[in-house]
Amino acid sequence: MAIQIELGGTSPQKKADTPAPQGPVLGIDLGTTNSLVSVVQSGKARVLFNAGEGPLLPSVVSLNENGSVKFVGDEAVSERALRPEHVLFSVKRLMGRSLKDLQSDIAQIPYALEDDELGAQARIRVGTTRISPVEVSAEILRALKIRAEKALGEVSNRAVVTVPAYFDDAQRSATKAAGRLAGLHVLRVINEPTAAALAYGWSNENPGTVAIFDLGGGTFDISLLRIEPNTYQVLSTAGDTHLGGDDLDRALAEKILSKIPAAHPLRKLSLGSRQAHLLVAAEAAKKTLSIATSALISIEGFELSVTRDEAEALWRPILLRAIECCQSALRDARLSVAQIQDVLLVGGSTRVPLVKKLVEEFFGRTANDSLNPDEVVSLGAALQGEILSGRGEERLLMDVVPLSLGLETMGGAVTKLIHRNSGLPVEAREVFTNHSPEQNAFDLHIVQGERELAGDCRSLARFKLRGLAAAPAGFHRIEVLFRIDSNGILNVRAKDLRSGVQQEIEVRPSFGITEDELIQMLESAYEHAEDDMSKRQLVDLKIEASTVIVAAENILKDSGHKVEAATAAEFKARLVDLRNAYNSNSWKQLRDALDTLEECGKELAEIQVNGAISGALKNKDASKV
Amino acid sequence: MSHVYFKLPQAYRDLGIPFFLFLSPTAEEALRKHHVQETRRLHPDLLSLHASHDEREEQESKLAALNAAFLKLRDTSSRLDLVIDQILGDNPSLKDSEKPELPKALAMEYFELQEALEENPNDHATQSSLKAFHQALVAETDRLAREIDVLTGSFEARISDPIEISSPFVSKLLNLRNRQRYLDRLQADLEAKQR
Repeated sequence: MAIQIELGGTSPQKKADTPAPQGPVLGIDLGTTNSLVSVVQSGKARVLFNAGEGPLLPSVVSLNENGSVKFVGDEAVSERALRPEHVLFSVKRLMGRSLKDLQSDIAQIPYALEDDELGAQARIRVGTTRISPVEVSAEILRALKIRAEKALGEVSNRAVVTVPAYFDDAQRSATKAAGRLAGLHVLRVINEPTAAALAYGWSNENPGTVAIFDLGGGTFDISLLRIEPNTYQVLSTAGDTHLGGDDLDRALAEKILSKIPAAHPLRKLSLGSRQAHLLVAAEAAKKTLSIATSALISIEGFELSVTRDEAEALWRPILLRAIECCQSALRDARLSVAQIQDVLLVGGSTRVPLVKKLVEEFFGRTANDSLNPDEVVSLGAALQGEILSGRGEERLLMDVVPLSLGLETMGGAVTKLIHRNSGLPVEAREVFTNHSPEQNAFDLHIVQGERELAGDCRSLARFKLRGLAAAPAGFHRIEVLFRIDSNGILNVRAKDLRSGVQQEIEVRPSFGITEDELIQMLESAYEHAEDDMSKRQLVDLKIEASTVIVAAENILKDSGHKVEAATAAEFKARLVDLRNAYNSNSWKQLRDALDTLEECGKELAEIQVNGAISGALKNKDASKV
Repeated sequence: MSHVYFKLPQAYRDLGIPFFLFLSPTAEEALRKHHVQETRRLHPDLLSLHASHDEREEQESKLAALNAAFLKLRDTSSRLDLVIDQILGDNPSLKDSEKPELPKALAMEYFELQEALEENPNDHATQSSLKAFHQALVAETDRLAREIDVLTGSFEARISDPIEISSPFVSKLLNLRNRQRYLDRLQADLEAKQR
């Protein structure tokens, strides 16, 4: 008898072709608010950025009216208050999420959302175009890749990307797909606090148990880590995908709004625009309150002073949710507060004094804020990249399953197959039998999450085990093996214990983009890459042309009278051509005009050079006298 | 005095752990170390980059089984459950002694405390007697575990071999599990109260 596994909702994926590795492995922290890219060079991790850039790339993408990408990063941020419906930020919160999942967030998102055909992934509507959060994240990753390649001076196509520990499979797969769209082979998706812990442990070989408290812009994670020589073992992890600095901003923004008089012009702004103004002001006030005890808020002529005490009263209940997660992580690791030897603060939001205070109260010790909270995650990702590229010198990161995996049983209850915080990789086996002679198939529904009812957990995959021959109840014995591999990918294998026949399938959850769509997006990304490339070449050529124009004008002024009038006139005409070509924005026209001018200006240039040399000689002689 | 033999499932025998580690409440750290050591031996990330796909697959599969087995070893209660279930499964004649009770006096005290706590959760006296009760239970559990440690410490054998044990020893194990369960429940109660 041959049993068959049939997947519903998701499709088994072909193994993607792995591109030939180029350059060092990038460590990317794809954050809700900011993103960073790092690399390991001679055993040390460092953040990559170029002249005129800061280490942080704001995770913000602005779009043109036609839906094409306009800016990524700082320039996009500067457009936020002007055209809020075209500026996409905090898109990480939408990754692998449907409209249903996002119910509680929708009020806070100024751009329009709608579900895709499958109802699996919310998409952003800008004008008449739709853009998936996966594509927006890919833009950010692409900008980071370009930034890194510029800094390194070489192409790099592999990366380790970090995600919050509490990201489920759909969110992880969406992140991986974004990497693929950006032209990166994502070697592994690792948990942010784990990456931070790795960066901490790499340079700190004191064995012990440490807590990594990671409060970023949009998410919170706590991880407990055991450090031993060359081994970093995650003991447990817990977190909240909807808790971060953005929530503090929003709480403060609401407070500010409540104080704005009804007649004030701010009240008449569109909801999106007003919210953007308020959030920008709230964020600025939050930063001020981290170093001062009061902050003056000023928006379009409206002024309000907020004290740190007032702000902390708003923030305390939000931040106490993080402390609850710490308790749960300790419970899972079977540890008490007293057994934690160091508490590491990670994520920009840990700069808020109240955060540090609550952490120190709970753990009963001074928190360690010696590492740069913005950079440490990306540095850790680069270190994991070093390990995966075989240069980690026997170092090993032992990670855990962040969310339990369960099977829906009769009545919609969940039987846990694999408990959260199990070491990775891990497996579980279940034996199924038929309840009646007529039963020829089993339906299996795999869910992810900690809740008791399947409806409250996230649906991961549905299977059908088919092809059972009619037999008395209890006759069939089908063993189903569920395995989560080192990459966090679920494999399901069914074996007929009577015949020994096996079937295997690799499951990747649906995140709103099918394999075909992804390939199509990849192809169009290559097309765009060509456009982008020629755009960049045009910019470079224009820079060259502008220096040539200035030099040509000088030559004409200094040496124009030293050549025949016809030669000078010819040169003048070619210079006009070059100016026109400069404004035409055609790379070919500009290149031709440059070449022609250079050709006809040879004589003039020679005279100019000779003049310059003799002038230089004269100056030299004069200085000697 | 009757003797029984028992043998753990293959997944556990593969781990090569000394038998006494299974039962000692202080074994957590030793077991974790063993886990780390075995993981380092098997983890695909530590394989040479030249290792074949099949080699990786094999290591990955062994490690997945190891990690699954270690889940049961993370706390004393589940370790005891594992051993006792196996012993009772292999020796059906022992099932009569399966349900040893918590000493009557202790059980009474526990339920009285529970009631008092429900009626007046913030009463200081009740809370401190609960604490005292908890401590007494911890002490009793430790004492039993140490007795078992002494008995099993003499087992040179690893769990890969069948072990011969006496029925009074099984009773001790059952007693320990019983107390451990109360302790777990109490711990959960205390934590729930804290929140």
